[in-house]
Amino acid sequence: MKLPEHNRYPFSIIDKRPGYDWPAGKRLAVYITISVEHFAFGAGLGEDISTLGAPQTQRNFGWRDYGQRVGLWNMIEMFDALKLPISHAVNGLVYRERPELVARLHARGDEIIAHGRTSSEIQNDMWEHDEAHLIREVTVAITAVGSKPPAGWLGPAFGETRVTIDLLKEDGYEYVLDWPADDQPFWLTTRAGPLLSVPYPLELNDVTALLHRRHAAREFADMVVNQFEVMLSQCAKEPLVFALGLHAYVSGQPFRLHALRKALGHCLAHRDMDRVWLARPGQIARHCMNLPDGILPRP
Amino acid sequence: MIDRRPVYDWPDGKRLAFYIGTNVEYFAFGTGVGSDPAFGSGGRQTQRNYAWRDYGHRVGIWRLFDLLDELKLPAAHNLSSLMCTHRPEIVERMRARGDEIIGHGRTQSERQIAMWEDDETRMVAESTAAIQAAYRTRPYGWMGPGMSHTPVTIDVLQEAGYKFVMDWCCDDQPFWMKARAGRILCVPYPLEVNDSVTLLFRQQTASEFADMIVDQFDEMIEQCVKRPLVCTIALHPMTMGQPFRLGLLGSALKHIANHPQRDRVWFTLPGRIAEHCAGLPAGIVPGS
Repeated sequence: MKLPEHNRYPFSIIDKRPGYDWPAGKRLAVYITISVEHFAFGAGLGEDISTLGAPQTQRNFGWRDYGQRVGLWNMIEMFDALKLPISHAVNGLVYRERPELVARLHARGDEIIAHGRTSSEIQNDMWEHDEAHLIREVTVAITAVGSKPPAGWLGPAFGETRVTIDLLKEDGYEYVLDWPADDQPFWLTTRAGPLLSVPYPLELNDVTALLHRRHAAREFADMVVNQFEVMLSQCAKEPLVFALGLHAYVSGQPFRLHALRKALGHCLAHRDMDRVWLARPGQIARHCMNLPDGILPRP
Repeated sequence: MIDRRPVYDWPDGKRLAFYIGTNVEYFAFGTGVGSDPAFGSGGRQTQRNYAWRDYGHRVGIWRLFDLLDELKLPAAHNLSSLMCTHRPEIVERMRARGDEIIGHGRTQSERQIAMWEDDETRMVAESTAAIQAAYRTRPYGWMGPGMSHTPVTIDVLQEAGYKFVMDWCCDDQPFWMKARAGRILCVPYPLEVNDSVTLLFRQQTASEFADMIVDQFDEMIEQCVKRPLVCTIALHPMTMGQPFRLGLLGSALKHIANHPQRDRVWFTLPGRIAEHCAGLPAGIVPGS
């Protein structure tokens, strides 16, 4: 019996692949992404803290807007104090609606990851024509401020159609974060050539854990520590990527920032920190693309 | 009623049969049913949740195999038969470990409850034959995808040569069930100490699940002084193989493997439990 398949990557087992290191012999690449999002008022999709799938109101809009007004800046201050590099997955519409915000992010030199147009929509049901238009809009908006196009893409809610990765490759993207299938990067086949999948977490992600699964802030902080400690041990055998997905309106709440600050401080004090490469996803992608042929088999 | 039944022992006078069951499943891409850590069993099927489940095949199951090897524990694997053709390396590692395979349908993307008897009979035959071809022995136990039964599933399974089923979750001891052409043993398997139900549907944390495993064992190791029991845990590679959960699982399993009363424990597999019960005199196991 044959089932529908994606045909985008072959099967491969983590401990049976050619070995490699991150730069300077490091073994665990660590990166953190903060999603910065623009929502429609009173329409479309958007998370709510009390009720999953709640209607869009000023209440949940306001709760999410806290992220851009307050949360993001407190998170950035924390990461700067911890000396952790960060990247931002930014909705294209933030570029039009909040130019002063994006100017600050670009001035910091953090990596910007294209994050769809708005998190009030999900790409899954779009026609190819409209999705291509969406991707182009976002790329143009980010390039206009950053002078170079974004290298990576993360769809709102990991949303993709059957042709998203074809369109991304055709639009010049180098890597995508929508396929949480591995702890290492791997190549995806597209109609326009290979596109790199870089690990980005569905679970070590504050929207999944704190909003959908309703875990407490301290529980999420424990997950971060557990993930880090186990991967630091596992990476002796294989080079791995530890990725943390945060959203300004979720982890920017002071009580969550407090728990996260302690967890990250604990991780950074680990005796095996010498194995760690504090990085951004674009650097991880470029390092993989520059590995000798055959290390990361291309489709 | 459990406390009114004849008392018996497991082999060597043991009283607590303990086994680990994993669920190693093959999915259709973009259609059918399948879980998502945000949406439990709901949510549309996309690359997001397919990839998250594929992590279990690429990474998670290998971490679990290594952990079980380290602890020298066998496991029973509820295996989608399509794993035999699509992920033969995983099946080969199971065979190398000497683990047991439990019939688990063709794919986790479908449910038996939606099938006519003819189609259910054919599905059972196809999946059994596929495992026999890959594993060299056929499975004698069944745990259906989503534990979903039709009114005739028990009959279909018994007629297909299955000796035991694991999807009724109604007892801590095995007992015999009547089928239209004979009988079939019901072997305990957990609905609650099960990472799919607890982590995905109830959305509890990894620590809470690890605590459940420890508490279940600690309670049953005392209960078993009075009567033979079966203690079992159910795992999925894409959940328990995630690094933030793996360490906690390791600690819970070490608590069990190194328990001061481990001399009461028969570290075993469901097929061996079924064989032991089938060999007991009539009247000992309920329903016999």
